[in-house]
Amino acid sequence: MVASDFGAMIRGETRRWSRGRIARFILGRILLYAVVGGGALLYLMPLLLMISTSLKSADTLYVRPFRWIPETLHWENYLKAWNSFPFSLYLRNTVIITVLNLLGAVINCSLAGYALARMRFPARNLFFGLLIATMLLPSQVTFVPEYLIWWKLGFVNTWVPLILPGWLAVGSSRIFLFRQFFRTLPAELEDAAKIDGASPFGCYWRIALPLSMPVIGVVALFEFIGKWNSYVAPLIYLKDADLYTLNVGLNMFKDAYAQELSHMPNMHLFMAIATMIVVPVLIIFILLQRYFVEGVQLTGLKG
Amino acid sequence: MEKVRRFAPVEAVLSRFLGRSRLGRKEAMWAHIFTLPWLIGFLLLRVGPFIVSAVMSFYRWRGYGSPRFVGLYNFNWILTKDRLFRKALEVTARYASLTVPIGIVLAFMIAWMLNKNLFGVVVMRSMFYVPSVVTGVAVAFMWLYILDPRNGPLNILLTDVIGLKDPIPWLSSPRWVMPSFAMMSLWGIGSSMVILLAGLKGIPRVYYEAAIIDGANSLQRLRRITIPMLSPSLFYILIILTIRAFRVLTVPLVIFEPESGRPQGPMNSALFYTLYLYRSAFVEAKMGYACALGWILFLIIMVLTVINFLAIGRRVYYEE
Repeated sequence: MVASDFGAMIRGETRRWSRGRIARFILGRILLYAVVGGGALLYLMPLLLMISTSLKSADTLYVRPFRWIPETLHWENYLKAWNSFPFSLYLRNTVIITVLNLLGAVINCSLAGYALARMRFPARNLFFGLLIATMLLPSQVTFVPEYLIWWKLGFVNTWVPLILPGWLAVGSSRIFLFRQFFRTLPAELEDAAKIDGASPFGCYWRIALPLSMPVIGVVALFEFIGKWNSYVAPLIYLKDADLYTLNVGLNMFKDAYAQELSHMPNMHLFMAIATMIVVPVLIIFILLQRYFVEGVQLTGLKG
Repeated sequence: MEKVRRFAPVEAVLSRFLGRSRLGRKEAMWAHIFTLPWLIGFLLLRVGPFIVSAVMSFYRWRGYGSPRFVGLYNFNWILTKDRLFRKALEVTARYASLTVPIGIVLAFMIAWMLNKNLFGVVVMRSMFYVPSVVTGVAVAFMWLYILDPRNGPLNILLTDVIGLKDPIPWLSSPRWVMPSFAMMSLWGIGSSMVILLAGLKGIPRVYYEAAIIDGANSLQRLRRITIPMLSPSLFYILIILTIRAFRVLTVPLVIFEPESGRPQGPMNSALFYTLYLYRSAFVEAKMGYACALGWILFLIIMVLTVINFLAIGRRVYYEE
């Protein structure tokens, strides 16, 4: 709009806003709003359906015509779902795995990123090259031999293969993100600290890290999302039901309850559980959506 | 001086790794400590799997006993006799050819519309983006419900409101499995959209103003300015979406596995490559075979990426 305004001015049009043009502009805007708004609603629809169904009772589940808002909201579904499988245990497991992995990833990725950005050492270019090379390597190529390695080390059926990779800074894109950010910090800050006798670790811990909160936020968010949603790794590595995460547990729950897939009688409970798994992610997303968007724009990688 | 000279070779090697000056050496030592976790992870979880997989692909091993060396047997079997391998390639290729072009166009269209200073643009951007942060089992479940042939909301909408005669057998007919998966994939297009939106915002406005002075219409502006300026982001999305097509695993596992014990869907219509890999390793316990499949996947992705770079990467416009 601004651009076309400008164009009209340049062309020296005196009647810049003739009636026809105003009408066309308004019509265009209405059309645009309709398309974008409709599309956005369409994208949100599946999640709304999930929540709506989670609040229905078993006998009104498949009543037609379809009701968006149930006549009575059955909040007790959530309690029932919570109690119908070891939800609190799996929630605890998931939180522990997610948080430990996230901590490790933030600490060790930022350390490696700091070294690559700020410190001089002969292997730096070599390491950076290796880092870039692993960024391009898709993980599904190596998940079978990775399993064999963890199996050989005796860590199958423990949380180690789910947590340790975070501490070993496996997410190359995270290191890259930290490196790129640290390079933008002014070097004078560290030089001043070095003159005052700070060690490289002191420079990292006291100066670089406190300034890099946005990147820490982005990395933590993406680690959180990735681990919270991950299914295949816990499925492969965890054998004991006590160790399961929410995702694995939920699927086992489905095995036990769904004899016949179409016409599942417990769909409202499934949707309640699914909602409970999705809601923490949604809350974090709503609170920190600026970081999400920044993160995607910085790395283009998710999960 | 003499004493020092005696250790000259050692010092030469040391200084090669640690840097020359004492201060530099201290810094280099710290740098190695900082990068040590990453280095261990790199060797254990990046280089290690490659070696293990390269060795194992020449063996037959069913998860117990000792592996038996079979030479190129695995590769030979995969490339000449394995029908499921061909099916997996076909399914993945069909999925990619459906989701990559449509995904790019859709992401571009949404980003383009969101870039027009609309009221409430942040909320709408979030609505488009939310689906790509919620993934995993819960979402696969949600789709299972929505796409249920008899009672799913989508079929209710299609039959009761729009007036379709027969409900669509979304996940139970081989014909409809691929459109269903494409739909789920397009639902999660948000991250590509956000990348393109950032790219659009990065195009300097003066280019458009100059084009308008020269009398370019909106279609010409799109073709001559927007798309060339956006080509790095578009190219990046092309690479990412192509690789992502080879990644489908969770959704077919959750949707098809428990009902039938066959995660590959009706008549193998959802036998995605990674799913076949997973099945070979963890269901049929053919570890050596799965490693060979992994190597072939690696080569396929490499070749595709190189082709992408050669065919399209050259036309990408990078501003100096």
